[in-house]
Parts: sequence; structure tokens; C-alpha cells
Amino acid sequence: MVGIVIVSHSKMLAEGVKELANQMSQNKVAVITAGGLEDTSSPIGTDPFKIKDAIEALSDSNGILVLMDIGSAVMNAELALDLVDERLKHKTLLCEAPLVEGAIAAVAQAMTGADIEAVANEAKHSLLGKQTLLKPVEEQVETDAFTDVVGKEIKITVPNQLGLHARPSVKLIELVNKFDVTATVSTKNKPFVAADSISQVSTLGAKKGDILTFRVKGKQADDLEIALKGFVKQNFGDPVNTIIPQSNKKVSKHVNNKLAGIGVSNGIAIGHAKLLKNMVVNVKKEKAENTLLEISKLKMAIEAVLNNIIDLQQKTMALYGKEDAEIFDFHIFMLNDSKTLDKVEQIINNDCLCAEYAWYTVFSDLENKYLEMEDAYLKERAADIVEIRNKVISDIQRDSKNDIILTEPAILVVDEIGPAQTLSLDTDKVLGIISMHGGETSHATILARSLGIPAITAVGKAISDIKENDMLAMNGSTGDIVLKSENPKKINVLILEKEKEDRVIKERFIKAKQPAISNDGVEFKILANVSSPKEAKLAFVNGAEGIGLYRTEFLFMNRESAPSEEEQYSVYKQLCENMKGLPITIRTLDIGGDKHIPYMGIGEENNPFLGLRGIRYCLQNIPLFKTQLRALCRISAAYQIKIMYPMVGIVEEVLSANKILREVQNDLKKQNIPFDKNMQVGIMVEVPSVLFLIPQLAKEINFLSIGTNDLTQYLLALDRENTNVSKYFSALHPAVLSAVQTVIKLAKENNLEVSLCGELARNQNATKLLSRIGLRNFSMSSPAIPDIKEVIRNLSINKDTMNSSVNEYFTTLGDVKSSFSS
Amino acid sequence: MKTLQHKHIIKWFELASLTLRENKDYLTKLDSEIGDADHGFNMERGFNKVHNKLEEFSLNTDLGAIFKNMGMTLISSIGGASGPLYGTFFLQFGMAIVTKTELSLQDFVTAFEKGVNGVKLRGRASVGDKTMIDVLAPVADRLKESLSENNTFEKVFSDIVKSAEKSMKSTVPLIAKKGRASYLGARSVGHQDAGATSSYLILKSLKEAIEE
Repeated sequence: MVGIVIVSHSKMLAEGVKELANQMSQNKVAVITAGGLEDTSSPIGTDPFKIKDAIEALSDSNGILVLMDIGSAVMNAELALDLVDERLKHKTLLCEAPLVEGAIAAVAQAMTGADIEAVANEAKHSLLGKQTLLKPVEEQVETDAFTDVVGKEIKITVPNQLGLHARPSVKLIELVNKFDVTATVSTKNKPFVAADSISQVSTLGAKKGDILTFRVKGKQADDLEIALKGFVKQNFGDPVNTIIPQSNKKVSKHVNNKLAGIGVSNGIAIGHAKLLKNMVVNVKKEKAENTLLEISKLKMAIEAVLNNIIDLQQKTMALYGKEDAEIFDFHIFMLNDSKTLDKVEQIINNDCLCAEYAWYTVFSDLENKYLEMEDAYLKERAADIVEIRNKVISDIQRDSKNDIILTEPAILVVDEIGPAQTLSLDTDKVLGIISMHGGETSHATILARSLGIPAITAVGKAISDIKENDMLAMNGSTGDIVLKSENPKKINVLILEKEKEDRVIKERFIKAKQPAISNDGVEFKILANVSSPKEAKLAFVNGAEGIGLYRTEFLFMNRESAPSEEEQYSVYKQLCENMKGLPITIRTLDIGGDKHIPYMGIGEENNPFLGLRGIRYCLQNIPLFKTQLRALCRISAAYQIKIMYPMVGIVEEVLSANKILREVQNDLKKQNIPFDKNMQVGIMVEVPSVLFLIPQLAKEINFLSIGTNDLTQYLLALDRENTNVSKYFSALHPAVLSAVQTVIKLAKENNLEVSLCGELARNQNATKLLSRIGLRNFSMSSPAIPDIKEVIRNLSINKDTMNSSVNEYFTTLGDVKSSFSS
Repeated sequence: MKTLQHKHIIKWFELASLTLRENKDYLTKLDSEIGDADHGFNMERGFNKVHNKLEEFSLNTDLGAIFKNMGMTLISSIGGASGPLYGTFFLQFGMAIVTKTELSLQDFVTAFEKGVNGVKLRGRASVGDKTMIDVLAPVADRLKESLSENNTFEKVFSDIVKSAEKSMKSTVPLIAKKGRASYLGARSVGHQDAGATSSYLILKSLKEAIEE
């Protein structure tokens, strides 16, 4: 790691800067001070020998960054460099960065294990934050006019089906920001805009096949070019086979002003209408008495909305997964967009107008820009802009009328709804959503589907036919809307349709729910692997008989700090509710290896896969571990859950983890908080050493779950990401199969339940093979469940069972594979 | 006098210490007008340390070592920018005359030039920036010229002190480009530079050292 030397005329100042830097890095980065003189009668000054000593004290660092205050500090630091030996001199850099900001930025960068150049670079740019905050407005006008950069020209072609929509725009800006460049971008002869501004990039409206021209200045222009080309290869981060929704099919024609729209989220809903068409903000064009006050009001509101959206994103991540959570990246980038903020501030300052009005003006312009776009997908981003606009204004006005609160179940009738609003809906009360605007790919629609709420959008002006409290029916598959007052017969038809729909779902579900029993009567248990309560919902519908693996690490990702006990409790509870009480195996936090979470503070490791990961991390971070165990124990009072420790390699780890679990349970007991005393505990079988410890482990645990991916990689010592060796990486390798067979046998002898939860479980051939060596419990991603169940129903287990070692059947991976084709 | 002896050097350092002590308030006054008012104090502190070392210096016959020791002493005790600057001057000077026990004019001129170059590099200052270089650089030039004139040390030192005094006074109308005074910009005009003044005082001590 790079170490830092702080040189100051004042000893107190140097120590103070060190204190700040240490707080930043949690003492992880070595900071040595060389402040003041020894002469107590005149202690102000710099001493080259002190600086020399400080540099020498860091001789073990990978690099030494020296930050100095004014005047002779620089000269004495140079002199000190002349005094140290060549080797040290070579890796020491005197940096012109401002002392306080530079020190903080430098340690923050050094923590990541960055090299001396990167640390120095970060320090040199450390004034930027303050500059953007305090830059006089006149200067901003200039920079705003400066939209074109002459420099290297880079052309790329938009590769993805949906074009430069919100998510690729966000990713593009992230990419540009990685490099030390000034870049502008244009397409189709439009004026060049700043390539790091979401408001400008996403309004370019570039579609598939359009050419984006970048003009890039800065020493990393070439690096950016390589990265941009890579970004094209990655299809702008979109899936290659994006299916463009065929809207036309679903639109019920607006014949004779017929009340209908685009069915965007399936399902039939019948109920009373609740009108929320007043979701507009009232903004008056008022003069600002104090423009500074207006700007600070605005910034506070943006900050508040930003925090709210980040919370929402974390909640979405935990409940519905990454894809839905990414919807809010657009909101976050928009709220952080300095170009937009500059414009708003200009209006406030130049025209002396109030913050709400200025914000409203800029965002309404932006909304219009989106609405004018040809591309339907981009057009729908207008709803996001409106939501961001209104949220900030509501916050400034301390107005909560845009919060949707329903007292009883109803069909929501709105002008337009944003994703954040959709997520805040009480799903028990909202039977369906009908909106005047919006489209099939609007973010709110995507979330409505995730929430399972039937929705119809783009109803148009006819929506005014619906009056408050009208009884109506809607079909989210066809876009039909029927008012009882106008067509009582049709409503009855729809009620029948709904019953039919419910019946179809029920039948499909009943079939999926049928147990997997082989044709000679051997019963299997098919469970699901999930990462969120949303996936659990799907697992239940697909007929999972429980959850075999819930990966809790997703709850901890994409955020700044670990979730609290309450937050974890509510997500676990949602998960259990979605599985309607079926047994659930919850794996405790499994990070490390390739799963990196910045705030967990796992430093750089030479070999992360053999480093601090899984249970090893938790045993070194007991408060975090205890919080999770406490939330899990509380859940165990009402639901059937099992706890599973990941990456166990030795018995000591289980002993320690169980001891901590008992401590947590004793605490709960003292506080009279209920929990299940008999909750089962088990481990993942991933580390090969477990194969030799099963009898000993059996005294401490109830079950084993084989994680084939890691077991394969550790057993064969093959990295599947490394194409030089990955040819033989297969969980079907005879060595791995033999290990699985051993685990099954030893588990049986020691009365342990055993299941398999790796990728292998969804492979139908593997299922057959594994059933022949005695495996009865499989856990897999849920869409594969119905098929696997069907495969099992056609097996004759007793006839095919391998009674001897798999090694007698197979020698090489090829042997295993060729047995499938025969 | 054609060679500079060990005793002259010791005398030079002794007189310089005394002169800087006497002029402490004067230098401080100059520095307080456009700088941070520490030059007098710093120079006195540094040269007091030198004064304490005179006995040690007189026991050592290697002039190169004495100059280097002198440089290190100033570096470690002055504190302000003058520490590394004067320290570098004497260090570089010393390096040019390693193991010599007396100095010819040629030796002196070469060493002085090396010292001044060191200061220029260290402070990144040039003539006209209102610094000690405004005194030291013309002196180095004058010294080089004197080589062809086959003069005595007395004559040469008398010349350079005159040149130094003139240079020192010429800093008055300049705008400071280096150090704390540079923050004042045009407001530094009309004041004599403290560093140029201390350089003049040190050279004046040198002239006096060989007169006794």
C-alpha cells in the first residue's frame, strides 16, 4: 500500500491532518507527520531531517506520497529527498495537492491498494468537489457555453436494440468518468453535449445503428477509446436478445372514444376506482428574496429526495433484484447531474426566481425533450423526469399530497405514475393501475409487473370517463376497461374471465406442486435457489417444495453500509410469506472470493478464493454476524427456517459459529423475544476438507448442502474463469461425482440430511446421474423445477442405482459425457 | 593575498554569526514589511548554531567538510526557506572543495558558482524575482570575471561586496515572485528584500574576515 507523509510548518496542523486522514481510512493507511521544529521558542517551520525520517519510516510501503503546506515545506521536502537513499527516492513522490483535501483523497485511494500515480492523481483532483460547490456562477455560464471539446474524435455505433436509453446512458457516463478526460458527444449532427451529463446524454435520443461521435481531450483519450469499443462489444450492457415489446398487439382500439389502453401488466382486476389525477405540482412564478437561500433550499431538497431514492433502490434490490433496482440509477444520476443543477441555479440567480419555479422550468423542458423523441422507449423516460421534478418540488413545499394512501382496496386511476410511487404502493390495497400516459416499457410498468399488479397505460383523454368510486373491471392482458354503469353484462363476463384465469393459474400451479416421485415410488424433494423475496414468489408458483438456498449477500450489496436487524428481518419475513410457510434454508452472509462489498473492508488479498470469505469473514466480524443471526432467529419463531454456514473447512468454524448462535439465542431469551430452539443448522459442502470431517461435524449440525461450483474448483484446483484450464472444469468430473457420492454415504451413516444446490442441479442428465448415486434432494433456480420434476417422474430409481463407486463406471470426464448420449 | 586559509574561513563564519545577530531586528523589520517577519530570527538562530560549532570547525582542516557541516547546520536549524537555501549554498560549495585545506581564487570561484547554482535550483528563482539570487548571481558573474584579472582576494572581495550592495538595493523596486512576499504582488514594490540583504551581510563578513 502507498503511505503518506504530511509536511507542515505547524506540528499541530500536521497531526490534525493525520487525524482526519486516519478517520477516513480507519487507520488502514500509514500516515507519518513531519510538522514544525524542535525549537520550542519558535516551533513554526519545516525540518528536512524530520521529513527524511518520515520518508524512511515508510520504506516498506509500495510508494510514498509527500503532501506539503506552503513555502519552505516544498523546498525542505526536496532537500529531504536528496538525503534519502536512491531506492527510497525513486518511489517517493512530492505532490502539489492541497494539504487537507489531498490527504483525505490520497488515503481514500491508497486504501484500495492503488499505486502511487493513482493516489497522487486522486490527491491532485481533490479540490474539484469544493470547486463545483463554490464556483462563482459567472464561471459556470462560461463552462456551460463550452460544450464542444476539440480533441481526439472517436466514433462508435449504437449496438443495442433499445438504443441509448436510460440504463446505457448511466453506464456510458460512469465509463467516461473513469478516465481523466473532457469529452463531448453528438449524434446525427446535433450540437455536441457533455458526455458526463445524464440530462444531456440521454436526450440525444440515439437509436440502434446511430453513430455516436465523441470529441475527447485529456491524456487518457486513448484509454477511453478502448473502453468505448469494449462497451459496444458488451452491447451497451443490454442483453443481446432484447425483445421489443409488440405494443400494437395489445392496444384496444380507441374506437368511438372507447375506454381502453395498452395492457402492460397481466391480470384482471375488479373494484372501485380511486382517482388520483391531481398528481401535479403547483408552482408559482415567484421572485426570490434571497437567491442564496433558494439555492440552499433546493440543494437540501435534492439531497433529501436522493436519500429517499437510494433507500428505495436498496429496498428494491432486496425485494425484487438487481434489474428492478437499476431503474433508479437514472433518478440518482439525474439528481446528481451538475449540468442540470447549473441551469437551475442560473435561473435562480439571473432572474431572481424561487427554487421551485426554476427547478420546474428546467425539468419541464427536459420532459418535453423526451416527449418529442421518436423512439417510444425513450419517450417513456419522461415519466421518470416528471417524478423527479415533482418529488423535489414536493419536498421544497413540504407537501405530501403526492403520497398515495389507500384506505381500502381499489383500482388506482392516475395521469401518470413514477417508479418510486409505484413501489410505495400498498400491494394489498391496489387491485390495479390505470394511467392516462405511460407505456409498456415505462419503469413504473416494469415494477408493476414485479409487484404483480395488473396495469393498463396510455388510456388517453377517455380516462376522464372514470369517476371516483365507479365500479369497474380491467384486463391487464388486453387493455380493456369496463365501467359497470355502462356495461353491466360485460362486467359479468370479465368476472367469469377472471375466475377462469384464476382457475388456469391454479391448475398449472397444482401440476407444478405435484411431488416428484419416480415411477417406482421413490420420492424426491425439489427446492429452489433464490436471491430475493421476488424470486421466492416465482419459486412458489413453479412448485418448489421449499427454498434450498437463499443467498443473503444480495441484501448487503450495492449500498454504503450493512442492513440493520429490522431491515433484514422484514426482508426475511417477506421471503417466508412468499413461500407460504414452506421450509427455507437461509445461508448466512457469503462474501469474499469474487463477491466484493466495499464497506466490508476486506483488503486486497493475493488469493481471495483462499482468503477471508464466507463464514471466515463472519467469525472475524461478530457484530455483523450476530445482527444477521438475531434477525434469523426472530424469524424462526413463526416460520420453518434453517441456517446454513458457507465456506466451512474445519470443525472449529462450526463450533465458533454455533457458540455465537447460542449467545444470540440466550440474549433473545433474556429479552423474552420468541425463537425456535430447535432450528436446524447446517453447512455448505464446498471445501474438500469437509469430506474428511463429516462424522465430527455431525455432532454439531443437522444437514449438508453440496455447493458444486466451489467444490469443483477447490477439489480440482481449476479456475473456471481461466480459459487455459477451464476445459476440464466440470461438476460432472468423476472426481467430483466421487466426492458427492462420499458425502451422500457419510451423511446417511451420520444421520445428516443432504442436498445439492449448485448449477448442476438444473442439468437434466446430471439429475438422472445423481439420482443413481443416491441423491434425493435438489435445489435449483426455479424456472427449471417443473421440467426436472417431470424428468424424475419418468425415472426407475431402484433398477438403475449404482451400488458401487462411480469410479468403477467412469475414469474421465469424457466417459461421463458419453454416458449421457447412450 | 593569493590563497584563502583555514583561519579566514573560520573568521568569516564567526563574523557572519555576529553580523547576523547584530542585524536581526533590521532583517526582521525588512521581512515584516512584505514577508512573514521571521528572517532575522531564523538567520540568527541558524548562525548561532554555526557559532557554537566554530571550535569544532577549527579542529578540522578539511575545508570541504567544514562547508558541508556548515550547510547541514543551517538546514537543520533555520526552519524557514532560508534554511534549505543557504544550507544548499554551503553544501554545494563544500562539495566543490572536498579535502582542500586552502583555496585558490579559482577554487573559490568554482565553488561559489556551484553553490549559487544549487540555490537557484532549490528555490527555482532567477535574477529579478526579488530574492537572494539577485545578490548572489551577479556576484558569481563578477567572480568569474575577476579570474582573468589576476587580482588579490582583497581586491576581489572588495569588488563583490560593492556589487552585492548595489544588487541588494536594486531589489527595492522589484515585484516579488517567490516566497511569502509574492502573495503581495505589486505591493511588494518599494521594499528591500530581506534575503538579498542577509546575503549581502554574509559577503560583507567575508571581506572583513580577510582584512583583519
